[in-house]
Amino acid sequence: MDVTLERIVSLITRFGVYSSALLLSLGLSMRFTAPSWRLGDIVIQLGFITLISTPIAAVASLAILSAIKRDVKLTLTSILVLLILLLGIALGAI
Amino acid sequence: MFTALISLILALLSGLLGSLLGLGGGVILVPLLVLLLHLPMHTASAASILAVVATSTASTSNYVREGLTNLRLGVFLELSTTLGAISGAMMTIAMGESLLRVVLGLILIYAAIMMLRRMGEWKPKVSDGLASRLKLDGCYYDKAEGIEIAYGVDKTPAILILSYLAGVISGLLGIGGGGIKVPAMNLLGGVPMKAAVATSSFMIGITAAAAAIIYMRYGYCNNIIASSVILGALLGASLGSRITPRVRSGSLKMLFSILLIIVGLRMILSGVGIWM
Repeated sequence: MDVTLERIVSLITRFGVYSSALLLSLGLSMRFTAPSWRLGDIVIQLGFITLISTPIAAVASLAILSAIKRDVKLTLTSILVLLILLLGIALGAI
Repeated sequence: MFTALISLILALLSGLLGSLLGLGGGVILVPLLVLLLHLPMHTASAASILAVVATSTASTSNYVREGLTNLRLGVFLELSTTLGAISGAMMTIAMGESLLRVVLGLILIYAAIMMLRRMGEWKPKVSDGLASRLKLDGCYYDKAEGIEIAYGVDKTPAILILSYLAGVISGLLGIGGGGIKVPAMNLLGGVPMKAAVATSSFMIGITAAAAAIIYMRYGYCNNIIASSVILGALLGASLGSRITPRVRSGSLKMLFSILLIIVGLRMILSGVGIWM
């Protein structure tokens, strides 16, 4: 496997987990210090979304990087996984 | 505040025990949240699946950097696992509390048996037709052995089907499903244990994210409980990865598998209404 690809996936996952942990700690402390303040809940929700987006972003980066390297099979597989994830979002909306 | 603190501590313990025992934290966390905090199964599973996304993504970052993860194999197997996770999460919406408890109980007993089984019987295999066409074979540098290990992937269609099953269970109960994926890759496919664990961790993040989307859209995510559980699980897993190499987990595994069987039976009994 390509070293650049691995480095980018590693960076994306690390950044995603750290930033969501930060948002969740911030949101949680806001929720306890000022329970009537809606901002705490919004920050927590943002933390959830950042967290869920992280593995999806890793797959998206695989799709983009393999497309640049003209690795058709990996590009198609990654795009198909992304489409299935979109199906999940669509089904969740019903 | 009290519930948040207890959820954080329970998640921390699950994350720690999970990495000591080589189990995912979710399979320990969900029954703890249901039995000790009396949370409904849906709320416990939603919080747990988010924690699973967090811990598996955090460990993926390390595994990928060390070159252990077979990204190509992981993405390919995710074709069926993600579909499984979506169907599992949709099934959970339709299923009642008691049936979910029974299924969780059965999975706990399965996890207990798997934990005691030796996984060491790995034989290098050549890639089958599908794996060769998709170039799913991989290699990594084993630091402990000091050698480069190259491997093929055999019985790819069977692993694909088992991965779907792992996805369904993950979506249904809010657990990772590594207990199915790792043996499938290792025993059927001939993927070395280290690569199988790393690839499964990468896959679990995506699978759990797919299921988490559905849990969130249906409003099962309790902000305070889920965020405490995520933070606790992350702390526990990072602590666990530090102390695991120094702990001999043989007797701990035996003790814990007995405990898992008891908790599993307790979940089944509470599901059928005998012992609430």
